[in-house]
Amino acid sequence: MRTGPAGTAGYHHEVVLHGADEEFLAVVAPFVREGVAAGEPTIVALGEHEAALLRRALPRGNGVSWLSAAAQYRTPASAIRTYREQFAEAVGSGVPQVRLVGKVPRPGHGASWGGWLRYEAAVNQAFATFPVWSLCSYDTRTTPRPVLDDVVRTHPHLVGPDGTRRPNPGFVDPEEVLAEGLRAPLPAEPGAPALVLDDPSPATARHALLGLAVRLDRDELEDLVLALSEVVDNAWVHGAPPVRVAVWTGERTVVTVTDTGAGPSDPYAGLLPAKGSATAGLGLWMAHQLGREVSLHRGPGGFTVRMTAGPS
Amino acid sequence: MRATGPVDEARGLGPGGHFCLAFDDRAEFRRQAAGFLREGLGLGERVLYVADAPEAELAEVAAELGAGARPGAVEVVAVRSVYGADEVVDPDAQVSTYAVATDAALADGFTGLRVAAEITVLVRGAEQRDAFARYEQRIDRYMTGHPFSAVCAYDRRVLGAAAVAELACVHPAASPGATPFHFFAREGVGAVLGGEIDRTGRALLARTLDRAELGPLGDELVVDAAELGFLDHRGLLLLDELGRREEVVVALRGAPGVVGRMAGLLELARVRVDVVDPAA
Repeated sequence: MRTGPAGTAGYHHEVVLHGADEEFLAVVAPFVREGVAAGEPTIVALGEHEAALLRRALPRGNGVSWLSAAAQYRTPASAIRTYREQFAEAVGSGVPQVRLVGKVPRPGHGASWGGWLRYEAAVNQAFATFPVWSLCSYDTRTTPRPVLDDVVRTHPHLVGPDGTRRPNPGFVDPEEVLAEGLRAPLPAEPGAPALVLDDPSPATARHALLGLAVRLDRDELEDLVLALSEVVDNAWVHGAPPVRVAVWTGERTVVTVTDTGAGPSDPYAGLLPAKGSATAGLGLWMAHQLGREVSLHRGPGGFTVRMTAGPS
Repeated sequence: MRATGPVDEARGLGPGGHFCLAFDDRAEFRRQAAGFLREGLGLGERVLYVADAPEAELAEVAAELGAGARPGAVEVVAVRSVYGADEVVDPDAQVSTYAVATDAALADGFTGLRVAAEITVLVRGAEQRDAFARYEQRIDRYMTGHPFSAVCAYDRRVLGAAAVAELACVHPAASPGATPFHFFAREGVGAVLGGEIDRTGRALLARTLDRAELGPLGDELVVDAAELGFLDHRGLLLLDELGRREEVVVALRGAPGVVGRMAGLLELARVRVDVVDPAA
């Protein structure tokens, strides 16, 4: 039997918006304690400050699986993949429920929030079949207001700082959130691109990128070259010409690939390996897995995949 | 180590050199063949010039190459006298023919046998090309262990780039632009896969793996991937398919790190990647 409010539903996705460490602990610590007491695998992936708070509030040898948030939330798409693997393994061992306390890194600061917004919307579908009760936490003192609005739109269940649980009337269909995200304008890059290619083959695009002086280590460059190749390939197969590749070099390397097609019809494209066909959509998914930050944009000029590599 | 990848000149290919010359001009074949064979004569090899040319040209080449050469060192023949005219090559029989000729050269005191052959007429039809691509793989395996080397020359104007690529890709070395990748033999491994594999060469790789001449396999097919410049995910899936078909694990040895990361993400059952050691 599963404990808690999920009933027979698969994934139960809730959030607590707290404004003080005490509020955080008042909600999260009992959630974790009860999970461990019920023998449910309980995973915690929090930033340093909150993880330390929680550790102090729990007995030693607490039975919690502590994950490094930096590794677990390396990118939105990799977080979805690794959580799914962990859930599948737990379900395979026959447990009735997995509990998860998670927090995406520095929401609204540094790495683009857009990617994590996609994550919070997509997990409702990506984790739907798993008996998982997850509690996300956002600190209202440090999270920008527009981000908090997005957080509310993507969590079907709310937990008050006093621990009261209720369905969220402000929850929005994840596919709508994802479609909206696609309409977000492309970020303006600083300065002129170091390289612009019109209608390149994947090989031409790869060789041109390798010919630039970029500040990336070997693995980062290999990953970016693969992502670029796969995305250009997609543009020719699924998109419409002209296809334009642009590259900015600097502290970070930014690559955009634009074609004049409408982009993928699957709202989860890139975040989940595509269903149906054996390979369609895998290239974009791979780019999301390997890249530092990958975003999709649909505008009057067509469909653009923007990929970055290097320090976030 | 014999030459691999794109090669401009048919010289310095090393022992067991196997070069696909894609030419647009017969004079180019004649020039490259002469250079290649002269190099062989200098190394004490017997050389064989095979061309689709009139008697007069054959006689001219024989005179040029034969000048100053040891008796019996130079043989010049019309292509139709070596291979059956317009027939589909029998890979085993053709390998035997060259194996016998190599042994004969050694028995006659030469250090080996070297052949430059213009063989466009043997691969004009799709069925002929299919058989010839199998033969090229078998003879390539033979070359890795015997003092036999060859330049296989194909006329791009007659065959077209796609048909030339079908054959060029099963040579360790080929004219620049003739093939995006190379799949060939090397001692100690099941095969070598080099070059770049994306949409341009994907269908060609699928056909090449379909007709792969792998010999007896254990549980594992080791593919030397140290010369692999790029492989996209669909290319990797083709190797997984090969593993399923042959009931082996395809072990990609020395592949770029990204190939290993890709294989991990795709959770491929039939591919294992042993990446390049960054410290090495």
